[in-house]
Amino acid sequence: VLKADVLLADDNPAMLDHVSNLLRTDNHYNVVGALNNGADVLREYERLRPDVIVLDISMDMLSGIDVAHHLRNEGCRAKIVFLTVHEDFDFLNAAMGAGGSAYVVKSRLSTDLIPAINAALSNKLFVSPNLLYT
Amino acid sequence: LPHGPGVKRKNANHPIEECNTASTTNLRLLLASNHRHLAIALIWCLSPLAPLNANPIESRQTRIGGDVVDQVGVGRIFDQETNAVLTEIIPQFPQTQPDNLRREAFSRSESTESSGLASLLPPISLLSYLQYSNGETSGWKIFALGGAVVIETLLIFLLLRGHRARKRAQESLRLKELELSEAQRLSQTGSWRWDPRTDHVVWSDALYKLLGVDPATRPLSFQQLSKFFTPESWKQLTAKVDCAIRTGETYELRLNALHSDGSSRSVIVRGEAVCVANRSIPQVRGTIQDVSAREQIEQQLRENQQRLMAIVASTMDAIIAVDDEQRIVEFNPAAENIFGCKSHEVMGSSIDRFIPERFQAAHRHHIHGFGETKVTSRLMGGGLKPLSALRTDGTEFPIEASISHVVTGNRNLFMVMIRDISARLHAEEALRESEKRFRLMADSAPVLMWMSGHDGLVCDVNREWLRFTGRTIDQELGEGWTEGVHPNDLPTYLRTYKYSFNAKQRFSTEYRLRRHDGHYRWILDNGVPRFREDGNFAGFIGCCIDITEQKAAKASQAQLGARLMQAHEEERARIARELHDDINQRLALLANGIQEFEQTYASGDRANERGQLHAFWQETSEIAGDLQRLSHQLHPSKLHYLGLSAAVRGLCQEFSKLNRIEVECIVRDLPSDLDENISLNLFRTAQESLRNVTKHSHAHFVKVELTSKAGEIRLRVSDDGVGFQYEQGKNGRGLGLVSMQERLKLVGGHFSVWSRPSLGTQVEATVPLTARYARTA
Repeated sequence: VLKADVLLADDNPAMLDHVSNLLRTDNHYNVVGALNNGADVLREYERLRPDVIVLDISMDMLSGIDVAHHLRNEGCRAKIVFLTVHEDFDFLNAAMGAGGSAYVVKSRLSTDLIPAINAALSNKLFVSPNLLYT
Repeated sequence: LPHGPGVKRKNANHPIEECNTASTTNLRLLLASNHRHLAIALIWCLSPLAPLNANPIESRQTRIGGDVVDQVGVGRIFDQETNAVLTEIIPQFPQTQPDNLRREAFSRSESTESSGLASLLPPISLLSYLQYSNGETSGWKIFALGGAVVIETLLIFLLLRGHRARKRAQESLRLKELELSEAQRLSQTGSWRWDPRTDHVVWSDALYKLLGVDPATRPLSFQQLSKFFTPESWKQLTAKVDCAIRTGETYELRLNALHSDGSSRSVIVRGEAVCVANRSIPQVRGTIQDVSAREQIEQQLRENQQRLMAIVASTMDAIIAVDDEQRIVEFNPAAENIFGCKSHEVMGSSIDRFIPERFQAAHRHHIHGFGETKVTSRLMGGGLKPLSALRTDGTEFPIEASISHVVTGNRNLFMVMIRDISARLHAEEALRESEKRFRLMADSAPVLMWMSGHDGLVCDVNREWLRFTGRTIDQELGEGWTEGVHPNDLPTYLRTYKYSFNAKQRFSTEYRLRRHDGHYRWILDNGVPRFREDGNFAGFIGCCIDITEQKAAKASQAQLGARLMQAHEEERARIARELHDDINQRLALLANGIQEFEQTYASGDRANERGQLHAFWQETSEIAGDLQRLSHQLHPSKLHYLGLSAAVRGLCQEFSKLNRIEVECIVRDLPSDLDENISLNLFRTAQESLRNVTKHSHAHFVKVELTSKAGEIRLRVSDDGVGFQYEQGKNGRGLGLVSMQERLKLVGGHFSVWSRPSLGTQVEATVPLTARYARTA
């Protein structure tokens, strides 16, 4: 089985642990890194060459949306999945506009993240359903 | 006695014998009578030739041969009828050369020829000596008839003398006439003569000129003269001329003549009748003198005199004229007024009555001294010490006087002009008093004061100013005070001052002024234009207070406000972050945990527990949502992550949804790198404005515009609500409007509110996008 390489970025350590564990329990993903800020992502992505980058939006210094903009500007082709507490349409628009493939709200993390990564890997878009129906 | 071409000469061979003896007797008779004539003529004419011809003439028969005559070249005169030789003209000078002799004889006969008068005189004999052509002198005495030549010569001489005398007389007459004509021209006088019998009129050249008539035209008859006079004048003239002819009276009239160019001339006409021998009607002669110029001058003189009299009568100054003895000869109405008496009461009396006794002697002395000088006028009392005068009621009053000196004939006349200056002195005293009071006030006031003149230059500063700057008054006057103004503030201050000065309007401005210790202090300067009593602009007066402390307090207050607001925002941001980053994440994790736990009940029949867990998850999610909203309200995370445009758009949506009010949100051209402070304050302003809409306006429609233009960002929130009176709103709405104003001040912006009852409200905030507030990349 060919595992997808996933790079995680979240400034909340507990959340980072939770997501890491969730993905590790699944055999389809290989967590290549768990970083706690956006700047590290820009520094490390070239070395780690992830297939998917899971980005929190609310990070100090550089937000997930800013990171996505930079990655896209630098020609990074990894899929970007946003994982955030912002259940807000403006954030969704901004995130997808920055090149995101999926937008997952943290309250639906356990049900939505894996489908979102999979959708992204198969060149599809994914948005947590509760956001779509509010 | 024919000569020249008419003279018949015998040929040279004619013998003397042929000079027939028959005529000798006749000749003797003729000579005798001619001798008498000649003697009379010689005595009469006293000619210089007399000695030559005064030789005794002897009546002796003489024969002169033709050869002899030819040789000596004497002239021979023949009787026309008898062909006898009547005379041989030979001068008496034996030494005379024959050629000269001949020339002289012929020149005499030539000049005699033209006169013809010689014929009136009979021939006369001459005694002479002959000198032959061979040089010998013979002692022959020749009796000839040369007397006629002498007489002729004398007559010619007399005629020439007469002719010269006539010429001289004519020349003298011509000069006299010229002189007369010049005199007439200069005196502008023309003369005329009229013979009433023939109506013949003669005009002098000057008269032609005077009446503008061409001298070539014939003089007009007396009646035709009428066209050169006005009808009235002509009537007077004819009457006088008639009278003159009748009675022989001379006349003199001043009449109006009419020049041929139509202009009127004032003339003096004089005339008289002249009786001419053997004429029954006398001739009339007269002169016409043009006195228009003189008349004009006289008129001007009269007018000047009248004007002068009017001035003297109407002037406010007393004018008194006194003679050498100090007696009053002129006393004008103003003098009557000032001294309280009538002119006729004082005429002829001494001017001393108006001079206080103690000054009288000095005054007399001065007047006398002044009369001695050649100065025509001067100010009395030297202009230094005040003079006094005495009214008739005995009161003394201060005066100002000037004196002038005129000499008319042999009389000295002193004109004294006197002005009562008691009112002026009083006013001056009051002014001095007022100025003193003002100076005292200005100097004791605890404010800095300055005063400028109409030229804009500072002409005075008060004591407090000098104390403050530590400089002398001389250093501050003019433009000296500008040295103390902070160089950065001076241009602005001068601009304000100049503008207000030209507009003559008050101004209020702040600038830094150097204190005596070298520190610059902030000064509030209030300038007010000054005007004189007559309304003329006199300059400015300025009052300054030191507002350094006040300014610092205000600044620190603003700073404190800003710090407070910032602390407030920071605290809110911290709580919001706490809620979001910590509690919200933990809640999310909790919700996930519940969800995962719920999934373990997915199989089996424990639907009850599963349903409960789902309810827990839902509750937890809702709490997370509420917390997020709270966090957002505390500090808009959208502003940070998505920028002002998204935040305002979100705010509008949220507002519309929550309050069911239609909101039109227009966001345009905002720079992407807007400073977070500006963003936050504009967002807060929009938030506060929308909050006011829900609280007060009862609006149905709100328009929010956020645009960027010409280096500034403009936020405008307008509604169609009930509106309010701005002043009431400002006071009654707590911190709403004030805090918005303060927020914008923090970022150098401007805040304004427009509202009218029932016309809605419009809030506008503008912030300049200066380098200071734009975020650097």
